[in-house]
Amino acid sequence: MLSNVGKIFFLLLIVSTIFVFSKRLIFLIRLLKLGKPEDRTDRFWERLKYTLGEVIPQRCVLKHVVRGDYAGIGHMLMFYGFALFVISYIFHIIGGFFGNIPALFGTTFNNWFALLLDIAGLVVMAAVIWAVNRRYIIRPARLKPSIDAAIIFVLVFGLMALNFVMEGFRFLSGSGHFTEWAFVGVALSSIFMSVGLQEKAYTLFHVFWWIHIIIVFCFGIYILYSKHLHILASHFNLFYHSTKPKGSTQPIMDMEEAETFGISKITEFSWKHLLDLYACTECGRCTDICPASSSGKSLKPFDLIHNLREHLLTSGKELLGKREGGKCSAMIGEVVTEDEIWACTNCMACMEVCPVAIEHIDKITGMRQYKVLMEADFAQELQLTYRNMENNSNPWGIGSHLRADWAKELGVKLLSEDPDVEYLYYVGCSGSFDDRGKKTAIAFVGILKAAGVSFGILGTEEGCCGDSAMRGGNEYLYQILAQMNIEVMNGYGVKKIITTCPHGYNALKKDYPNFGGNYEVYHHTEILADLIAQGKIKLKKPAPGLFSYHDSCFLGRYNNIYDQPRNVLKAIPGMKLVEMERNRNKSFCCGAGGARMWMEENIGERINDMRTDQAIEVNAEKIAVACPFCLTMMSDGIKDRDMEEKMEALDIAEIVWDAMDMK
Amino acid sequence: MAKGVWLVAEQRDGAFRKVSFEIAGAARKLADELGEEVCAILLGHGIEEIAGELGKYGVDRVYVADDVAFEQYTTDVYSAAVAKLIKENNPSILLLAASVQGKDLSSRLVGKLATGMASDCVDLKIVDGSLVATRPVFAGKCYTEVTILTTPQMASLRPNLFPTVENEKAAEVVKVDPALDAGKLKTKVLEVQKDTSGKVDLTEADIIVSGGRGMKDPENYNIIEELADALGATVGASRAAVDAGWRPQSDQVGQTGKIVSPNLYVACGISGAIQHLAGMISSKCIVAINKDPDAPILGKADYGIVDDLFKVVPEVTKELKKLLEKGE
Repeated sequence: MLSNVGKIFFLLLIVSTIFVFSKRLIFLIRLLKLGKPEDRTDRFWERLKYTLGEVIPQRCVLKHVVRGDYAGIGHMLMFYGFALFVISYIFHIIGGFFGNIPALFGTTFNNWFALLLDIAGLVVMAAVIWAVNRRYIIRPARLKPSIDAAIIFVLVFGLMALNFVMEGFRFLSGSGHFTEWAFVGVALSSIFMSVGLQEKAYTLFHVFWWIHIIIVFCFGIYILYSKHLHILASHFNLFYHSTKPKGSTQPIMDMEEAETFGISKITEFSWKHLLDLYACTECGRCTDICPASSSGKSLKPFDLIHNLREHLLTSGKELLGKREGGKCSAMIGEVVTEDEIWACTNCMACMEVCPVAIEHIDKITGMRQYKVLMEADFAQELQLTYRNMENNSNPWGIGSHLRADWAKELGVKLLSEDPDVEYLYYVGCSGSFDDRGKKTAIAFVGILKAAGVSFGILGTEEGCCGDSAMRGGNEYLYQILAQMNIEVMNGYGVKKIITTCPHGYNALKKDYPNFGGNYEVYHHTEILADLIAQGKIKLKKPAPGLFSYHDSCFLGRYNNIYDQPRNVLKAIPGMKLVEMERNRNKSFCCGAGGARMWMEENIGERINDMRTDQAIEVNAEKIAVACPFCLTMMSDGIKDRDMEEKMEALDIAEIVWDAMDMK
Repeated sequence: MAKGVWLVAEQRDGAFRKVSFEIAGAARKLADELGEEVCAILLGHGIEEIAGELGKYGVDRVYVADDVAFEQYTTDVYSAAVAKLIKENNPSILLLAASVQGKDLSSRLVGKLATGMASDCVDLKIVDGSLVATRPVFAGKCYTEVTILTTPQMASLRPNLFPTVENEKAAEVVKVDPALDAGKLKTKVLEVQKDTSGKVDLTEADIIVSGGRGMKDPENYNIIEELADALGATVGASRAAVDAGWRPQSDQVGQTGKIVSPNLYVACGISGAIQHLAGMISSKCIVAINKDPDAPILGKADYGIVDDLFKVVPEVTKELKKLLEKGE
């Protein structure tokens, strides 16, 4: 307990800390409010459950341990240790006025609390040493040795050390309640005694008490000025995470009335997207796993978020000064370059790996929408692709009347002939027009017929699904394409759909409901897995060579379909399957998602070549894919690496059809 | 009563562009049916002596405005001059080329003359004394026939489609001075910067010889270049060849490169992935040389040779050279 003068000083200290803290906090909240409205208040309990489930067991960081990223353990130790210390600081502050608080709860509590706190202190100090070693000596590529981090390490380590020193002097001076359970404090007090500090113990206890509590307050304020804002913001960010189906996009719903489209200014992001910026922990996992970063493009998801945050904070005063919209320096071109915006393959690895639920892709799509819909300033190759989609409803611009020619001699029913079939096989552009893709479609149709599945196609009434248009920022074109398809499908009363392309799969399943298209959508690997499990197709012919399955982003990360394709492959006799190092949810993109399929890759290394190298590394002879984009990209990669004689890329439908030996 | 089939002839640097003769041919046909005259307007500087040349292609009379003001094409100078002549002479039909210059000029003229126009026409005929023009719509999937209710009935003609007709008659050359009001002109050409590469741009080339991955080595491109030289063709490449660094990006034909539609496209060692096909499928005649009989390009080609390109291409070049020598 402090003297009366001490108490007054302490009260002043507390009040000024609260003042500085709240001023900054209000500033940060007002900045958030500059963002566009977005309703994220639905499903309260679900959100709360998710947040607690991520934070309390530290799943947010510990989930990475399985892939050899052990930093989460250090984070967990610091998190729990610090959580205990936060309680102790509350005791500490109240104790300044009323004396030792834990003792008020009884000796048992006091003993246990003292013991746990000392253990926590040691653990946190050890964790800091580990973290410093990791960040400044080992230096994993994803971490930048920032000043920010260094300051925090010094503060945290200092707080722990000061706590022990203070405790040592307290015991030595005989003030407060003594407990032997506080073993570090006890040990230190005997050391202090042995060096003859007993006389000055009381004074030193008070000196350290003040230093300690001032640093605690400084730490609290510093949180709001540093990347450690995540200590506060990440909980809210997790709570307000997107509850939409994973990988779905937010459509522009007021196409007709809106006067601006997309995002060109920081204030055009929704408040949740701005909260994302506060929540970033600067762990760098996103950049580490990003195929664009890994292949030497300027896009680094971490930098994107970090630079946007700096932009928001520095232009914040200006923005708030003028309220509504406010003046704001250019964002695209200055804070985020066009190369960054267009380098993204929408593979979603960054979002999958982010511990605090930051939504990177939607930000990029928003900025692309601005470039495409407002400025019409985007790659020439994409202009051609969009024009082709507009004219012929396919990206290559091949006459739309040729869409069903691949099926001419296969006796495939059209829905116009028989709308009562069980499944609509939505073929997509690749299966319809690309000679390579047609092989997949033909094989899949062969399988369906052999298994006696009732299905039909739309023929020339089918149109492009629009995924590439949407992800390339041409929302307008996408919505036209989607609505045309929905009109046709609803006209036939379509209920179940199978696609052989994960892009169409994802769009039809998750984005078409926005426009009144509600269907049960299946990817062909799901159907194949089912047919095999039910014994409806017989796999007789052994598969030759060593296979490796390449996860499509839109099937894996977007839709959690990891097992079905593998199960299908494993059902083939003599199947030798090897996993590439990056598989399942940490799979490496082929490079074609997010409309990148239709753009030249002029910067850095080719992503598909890198992925091919990963397959070569495990001596794969066949790269099994489940996506026509991946099929093209991996086939090209194999050619680029001069491995055509030894390797080939095949769709799973082709592999199954071959194993059925019915050709 | 409006009378006469008129056309605007295009010249560049004192020489007629081929399309001018094509329009003259089309105009001749229409004029013969109507029993009217074909008149051409020729604007330029130092071009008086070439004017008579149009007679060979069916023009009866050429109105020549030879002035330094017409040396370089500008929309306002040319459109003012042409509009003035048309208003003075009141022809029934006015034809232009659907070229870069023609498209620009015709749209301005339509405004100045307050008449209608069919653009980018592929066929013209006379029905009941009126012009009926055929033009493609919906990216070439359909054709519409249009007729124009006002005079002059204007149409712009797609280049490389209409045949030229030879005609021994000499054309009467009439010098005119449109006496433009210099004060009303808004633009002036300061400088002309030309592409100095001397190569015909891929998108404008009549003949293209392309090499793909099958070339195996950048050195081997000399056989492609030799064939291209013999044919007077421009060299193109598939994406694979560009990726391998064998050819510059500017040579790339395909979805993410140039979209071309030459009269003749020779694909050597190109498998014909859809990204490539998307860039050249509208070529009039496709010749593919590939040793893989399953290469998709062979399914799209008008003529396919299944053999080693290193054997075939030099042989073709040799034979072609022989033929050309004989021809001269």
